[in-house]
Amino acid sequence: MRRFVRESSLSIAFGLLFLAALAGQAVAGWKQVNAEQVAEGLGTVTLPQYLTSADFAVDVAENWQSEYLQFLLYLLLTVWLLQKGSPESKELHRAGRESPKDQKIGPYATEDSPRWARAGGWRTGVYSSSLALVMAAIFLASWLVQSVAGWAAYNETRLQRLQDPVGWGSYLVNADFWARTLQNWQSEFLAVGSMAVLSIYLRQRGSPESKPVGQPHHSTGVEG
Amino acid sequence: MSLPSRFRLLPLGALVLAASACGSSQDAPAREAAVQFYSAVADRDGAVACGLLAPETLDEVEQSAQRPCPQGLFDEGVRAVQDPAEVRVFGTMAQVRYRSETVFLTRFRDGWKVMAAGCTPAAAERYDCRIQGG
Repeated sequence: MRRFVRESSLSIAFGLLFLAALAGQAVAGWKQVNAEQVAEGLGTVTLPQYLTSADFAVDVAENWQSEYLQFLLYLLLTVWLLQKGSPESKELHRAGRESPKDQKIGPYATEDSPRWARAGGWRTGVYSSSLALVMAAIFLASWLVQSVAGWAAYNETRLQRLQDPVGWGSYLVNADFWARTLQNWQSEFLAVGSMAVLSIYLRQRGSPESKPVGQPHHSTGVEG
Repeated sequence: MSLPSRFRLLPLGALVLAASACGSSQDAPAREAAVQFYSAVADRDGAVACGLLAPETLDEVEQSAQRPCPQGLFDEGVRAVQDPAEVRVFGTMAQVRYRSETVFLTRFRDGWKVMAAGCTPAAAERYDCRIQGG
């Protein structure tokens, strides 16, 4: 058990941070909604009602979709695009999907390679892109949830203003949907871009996300 | 091959999130509140009708009519309508459309209340209502 905790401490720590932040978001969001309801002379909601509301669902989903889009694009773009000096980039001569030998697939797989890396054919093809496929699926699913929950939350606001609700199709081209979407996207792209550039010149001793402290700035694709 | 147990809840979670956006389970209670309100108006029962108004709407009626709500309500021109044609519910808000007018309701802890009634389409995508709160 102790060994499991030590060897999985990264995922455990972020899992706990996620749960704590989600719980905090739930309470803060609930209080915020009720403050707005009272200010408008409307009824308040209980915490369980808030947790099953469109308001909470859209606030969660709009953040999830942008995070998984960030990882999806990061995975795909780092295959071909380079950043000299960054540990986030491959070495300058290694752009592209790389050779089967480099990737240890098919005949170059070892005994302890994943089964589908050894299998060849479509299985290896699918497994070779499995990370991006899952990230894409989660991104699309959470974006869909954002669109549905956002549509419902937007229509609730429209009714409060004595306006007719709009259809889901209309909401997909509405400023509210795209404002929520793009405000999240810009921060994700900025974060990844910042990391790629800052890590050229700055260091974090001991982190695999950083070059070793004494590594030259021009070294590319080297992690600590 | 079935999903490992730890993954089986993921699709359900996504559906719950999506379903939370739907207000179909509240259609009937919202519709019933509108029907009760207009039935009370038809019976000239101001006390019952005012009991179905949101607090701010009741205050607005009394300020505008300069009379207690059970009497002032009818001074504002609220009239009885029947046969709601469509109910749309989103979260704590509902819209019930009749042939000649529309009513907006909002959900409190003790049930649905009328926020605005006698509403007809006006400019800038808004409704103009005989009585409204806020």
